[in-house]
Amino acid sequence: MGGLAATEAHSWVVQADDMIVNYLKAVEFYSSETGAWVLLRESGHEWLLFLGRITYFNGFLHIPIEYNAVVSVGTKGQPWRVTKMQCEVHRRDHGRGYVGHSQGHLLYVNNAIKDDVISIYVLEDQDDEEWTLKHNVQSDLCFEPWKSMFSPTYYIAGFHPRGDLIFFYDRSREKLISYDMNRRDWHIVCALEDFQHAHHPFFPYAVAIRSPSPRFQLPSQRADFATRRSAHGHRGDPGSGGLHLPQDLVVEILSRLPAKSLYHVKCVSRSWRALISDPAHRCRLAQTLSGFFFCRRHPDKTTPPPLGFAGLDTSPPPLDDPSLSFLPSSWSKIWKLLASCNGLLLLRCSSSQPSAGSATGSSPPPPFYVVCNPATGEMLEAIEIGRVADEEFSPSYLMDD
Amino acid sequence: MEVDKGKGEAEETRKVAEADRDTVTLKSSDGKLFEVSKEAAARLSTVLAGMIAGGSIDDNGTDLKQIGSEALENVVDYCNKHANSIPSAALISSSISFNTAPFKEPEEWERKFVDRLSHDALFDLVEAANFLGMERLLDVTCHKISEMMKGKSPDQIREVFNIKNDYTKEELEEIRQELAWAFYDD
Repeated sequence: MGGLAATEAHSWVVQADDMIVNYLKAVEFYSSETGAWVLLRESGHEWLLFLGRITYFNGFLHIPIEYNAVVSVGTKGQPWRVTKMQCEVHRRDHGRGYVGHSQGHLLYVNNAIKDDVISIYVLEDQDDEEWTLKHNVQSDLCFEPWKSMFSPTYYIAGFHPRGDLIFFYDRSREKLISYDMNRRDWHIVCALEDFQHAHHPFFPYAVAIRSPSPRFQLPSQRADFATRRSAHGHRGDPGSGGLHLPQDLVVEILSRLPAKSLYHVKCVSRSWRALISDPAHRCRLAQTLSGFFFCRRHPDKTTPPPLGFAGLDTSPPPLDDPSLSFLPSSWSKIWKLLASCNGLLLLRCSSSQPSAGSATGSSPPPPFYVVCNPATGEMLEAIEIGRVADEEFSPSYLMDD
Repeated sequence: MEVDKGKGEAEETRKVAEADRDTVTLKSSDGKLFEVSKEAAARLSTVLAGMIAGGSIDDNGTDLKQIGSEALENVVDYCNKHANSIPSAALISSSISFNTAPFKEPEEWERKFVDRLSHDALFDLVEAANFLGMERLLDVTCHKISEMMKGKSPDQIREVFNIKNDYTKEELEEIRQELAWAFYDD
């Protein structure tokens, strides 16, 4: 069974229900707006072998299934739909399909183990029946060939949301690397030596401040405008460059820019670059991808692995503390990261693991989902787990538009 | 006696009318007076709403020392044009956890309103809106300025905002390199 979450303007939590072995028969949704679970059953009689990573895109959950196909489940109860890749199907290849999206299109990566080829397919239109081949790359040009190994020599970490880039983890060299589909070249992003193998090892993450910024205080709280203003710099302040405004207003303006424009603004002048790079401001500015959360190696197999973070920008790190230490200390070692989306993380807190405080008599909380924002340390939502949830196998994805 | 009583009543009526006046008078830093509808001022500006509720409105002109007459004229103009708009509660209630940006695209008249302003007038208006706690006006003006940067090259942005490039060639190349792989050019 699987638990997964997707959020729109309001939050959705979804659980894959009623599965025989790994055959998916139903999906259960939770919406934070209604506070209720809704069950969506598969209407046909297909056997859908559930293969892991789920993505939410344009109102549908897209789930890779065997024989290089994807099942799309509408969040409004539409009939389930299966779309297939235009390729020769190798029975051995299943289990490695990866679905994601970038630049407004759904993408699928198929790793043909036999030939050491990575094929990237695109579904140009949601109504299309078949996926078209977008790109082929010989994976053995970069990674060690699979045929000589028993386990994968690389993992797909994710797509860049704004460019034709895929991120991989190279297991033999222990490095996170990016592949540019247009230029056909590889770049090393960083070394990840303590990476731990997992079914869903990487969680793309971009810093985001989700709750309203405190810029609108009650009049009584903001009487001392003059002080506040001088604290943030006057007109002509070097921090605001040629835009003659106090810094906090310049940041207000920059917060409305997409990531790409921000990179251009960064190149305008030193003072603007300093303004954008300032950690105090950065959390308010658009970033399409800050990096990836991943599971770190650790000797204790009875507890979920600790989290690590691989940042794409060099400095300063986007998160002060990727270990989510803002979570209550009694939860230590009982939560597991299930999904990430738009700056939010979905955790599953399980009661099945002994908590650190159990020796002193405090019992761990019953299992539930938590949505939190690691940039602000806020816990936004705690959701009771629906009808079915499995401890071991919880592929999930968290999404909003 | 009769007359005096009548006079007293008239005085009373005048005072009541004064308190019930449906406009407030605002005074710019350079001493110019502007009248704005009390209802619109309270609805669009958290600061003016607080002052009206707290009784700190001066009938002879409430001093707004931080705002020049040109900016204040634009603020008042905006308030008057906004007369038929949505209530402030709808603008402020953005506390739902999963809300994406509560900003709504500027309406046609708002677009026209900011488009006719010079750069300096626009920057003054941003500051005035921030000072008066006018969320919607701040949104509209900041949106306008961000539109002036969107899709432009660093050179074009420097030109629009009259900014001197203080980078050396080497530094600029270094920045481009820093994120070259993540920054994909269409």
